[in-house]
Amino acid sequence: MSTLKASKPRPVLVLSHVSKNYELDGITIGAVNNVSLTISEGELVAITGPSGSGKSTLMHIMGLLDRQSQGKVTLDNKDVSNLSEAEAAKLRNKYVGFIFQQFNLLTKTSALENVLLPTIYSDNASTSADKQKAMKLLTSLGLSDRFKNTPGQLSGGQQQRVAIARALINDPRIIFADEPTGNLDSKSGAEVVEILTNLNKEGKTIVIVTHDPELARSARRIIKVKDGRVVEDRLK
Amino acid sequence: MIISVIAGSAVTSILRNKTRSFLTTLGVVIGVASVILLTSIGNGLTVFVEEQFENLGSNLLIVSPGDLVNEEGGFNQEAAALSLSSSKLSLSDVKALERAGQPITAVTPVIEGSGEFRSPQGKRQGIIIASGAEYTTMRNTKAEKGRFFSTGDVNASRKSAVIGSKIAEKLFAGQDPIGATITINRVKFEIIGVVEKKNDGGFGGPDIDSAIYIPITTAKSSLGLDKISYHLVQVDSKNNIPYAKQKIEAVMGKRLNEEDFSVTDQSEILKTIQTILGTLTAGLAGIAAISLLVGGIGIMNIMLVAVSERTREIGLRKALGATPNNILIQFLIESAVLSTLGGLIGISLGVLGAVAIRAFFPADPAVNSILLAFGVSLMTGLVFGVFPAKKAAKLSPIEALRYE
Repeated sequence: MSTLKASKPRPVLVLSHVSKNYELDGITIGAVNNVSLTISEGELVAITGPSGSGKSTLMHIMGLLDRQSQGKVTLDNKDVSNLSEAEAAKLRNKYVGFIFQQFNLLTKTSALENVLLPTIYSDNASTSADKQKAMKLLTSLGLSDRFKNTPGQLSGGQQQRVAIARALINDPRIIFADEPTGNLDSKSGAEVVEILTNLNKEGKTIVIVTHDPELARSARRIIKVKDGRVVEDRLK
Repeated sequence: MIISVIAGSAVTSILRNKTRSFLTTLGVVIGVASVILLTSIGNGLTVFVEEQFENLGSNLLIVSPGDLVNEEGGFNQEAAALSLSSSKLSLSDVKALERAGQPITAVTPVIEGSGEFRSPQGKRQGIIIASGAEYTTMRNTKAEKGRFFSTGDVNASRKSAVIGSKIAEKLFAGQDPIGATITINRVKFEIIGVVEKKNDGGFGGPDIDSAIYIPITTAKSSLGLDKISYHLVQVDSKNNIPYAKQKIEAVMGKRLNEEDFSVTDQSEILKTIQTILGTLTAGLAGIAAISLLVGGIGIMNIMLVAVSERTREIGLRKALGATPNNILIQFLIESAVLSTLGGLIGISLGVLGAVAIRAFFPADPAVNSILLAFGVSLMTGLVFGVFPAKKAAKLSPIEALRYE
């Protein structure tokens, strides 16, 4: 993988001249303004900026949760600018993994079932193989004795690790982590950062959205957003 | 998407809110139970009436005194009451009707009256049915012990009596009544037979097991019963009933004025009663179905609550790849499972209720009304689930994930 990167990194996600406008009481508000960027395979990118800077909207467009008002989005060389809601859902399921600040696990549902949730929306789901894979992922994240536990019986750090396993279950091309340490104590937060950096070392493409400069420093590339524009894009 | 997983999660989420789910389904439970119970009663009544008519004997026409049909074509109650006391029917009608021949196979006059029956063991009130010997085959009234009276008994006006099973039980307990003497309205009769138990009259009709059958000639000569209540005419086949009716009307029309007799066909009466009962059942079931509607609204209401309670979950599922259709199906299955569960409970309660009241009221749960109730409760869930499910499917994943 490293040799591939060194030669010529393949672009996973390309945004060209993307804007997003909201209509509010007849006034048009630009949340994202003419953003162009490329996320390449194997990158670990941090998108930072103060709250209200448009970084979340940008992430939503990149993660196919939202659609841009103008511009073009390409995922794996495929134009995904004008997808129907159902088409976008299918692509999210196959290509995109999400890790949220609030973990967003289903309460009263076991860790294992939470990890398996994306597989029920897959086209060719084979339940027993998926289950094996989910158990393997949870084990690799140190949760081998927590398969049957519900989120309420897990610590915040453990819950976020379940969420990471869920993001990985369908082998996504790109993983988005939205303030992944925001609801964690510093020790659990550090563990999650370590997991993410390790996953990146294994070749996963990861985009972290955060306003925490500490977390942003763990990334090799930092994109700073302000007022809906990219104001800085640098490699460490 | 695996439907069974979705259905499983629907059941899980219903079980998660047991009390709420139960209260929600209560409307459907009550609706379905009352539909089942009421159709069971309607069905039971119809079966009961049909059995009663079968007991009367088949292919029979009844010649009654007076004009039973009024000008509007309905039942003429006043005339019917009046005509019994001023019956112009006579024994000679029988000969005339018999002479008419095919399709008429048998004719017998009948006098019905009430009487007091005495034995050394006590006394009892009952019906006296006086007729010709043909009555036993025409009305399907067989002697279980001894014999029914014969044409010989009728011709000789013998004081022979065939008693109902209940009279044998009450007035001749512990003894063989055959050959014993029974007093009917102070006149002594010899018992020659006991009629098999018919087990009806428990529901409004005459208590046929408390009747005594005697030759019509004896009733006239010894008991002073001389007004003929009706003639029974047997027809060779069902298809010939309209023809026989015409023939009887022609014969009787020569003997009596048009308003002094009428010919009725049992199957007509049965049809009328069946129609009335059918309408009644449908009406009652319709009223009960209103509670199903109310139950459906209850389900819609709770599903709307569930959608707003689970907005974040919907957002999450969408983010992880659920299409709007996946979400729609999830919530539709949930409401359908909820209403079908209510339907199943309602069906059980309705059937149990029908079985419970069967002891004192005819009730017969029909399989098709059970299937219908099941289908209707499933449909209720689907129909009333559409609106909440569409609402869920339309939620934007970002908005839903942001929802607190």
